Amino acid sequence: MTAKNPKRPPSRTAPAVKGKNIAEAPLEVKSQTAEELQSEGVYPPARLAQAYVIWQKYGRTYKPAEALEKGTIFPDLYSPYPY
Amino acid sequence: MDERLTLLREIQELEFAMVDLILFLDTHPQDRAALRDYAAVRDKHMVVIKRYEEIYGPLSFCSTTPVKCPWQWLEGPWPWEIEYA
Repeated sequence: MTAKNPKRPPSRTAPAVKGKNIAEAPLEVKSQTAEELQSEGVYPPARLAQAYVIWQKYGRTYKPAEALEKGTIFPDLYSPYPY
Repeated sequence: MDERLTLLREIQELEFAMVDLILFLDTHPQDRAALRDYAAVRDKHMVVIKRYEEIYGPLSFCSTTPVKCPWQWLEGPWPWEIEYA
């Protein structure tokens, strides 16, 4: 027998749903905005991240030999690490 | 060996250029300038591949160069035996 991992938190039983077996309980999906979740303290008071990229336009390209050295054929995408 | 390495290097350069261009074309399938450049690089690639394979044998098993006797596929050097430096 292996010893129980002392760091492992005690297993908790799933919270019971009133009057129903948990497997039969309907899935309740409540739609909430980030603002509502923040007012409940679920989200920290910060804005959600919004990612975007600029649409690439085709322009000048490196010659194949230079592109292989630089890792891209597009001058717009050439961005070497500063070390 | 020097010409062999020069040709291999040129093939690598052309294939890299093609890879970057097809990635662009995946998101810009109607871009005529990119299509034109892709076609040009591909045509050049075919010429260089042909030149290489005529001298040094097939680069891939689906190469279209004439099959020679003896079977050339086993002739070295293998890629890891080439001194690239």
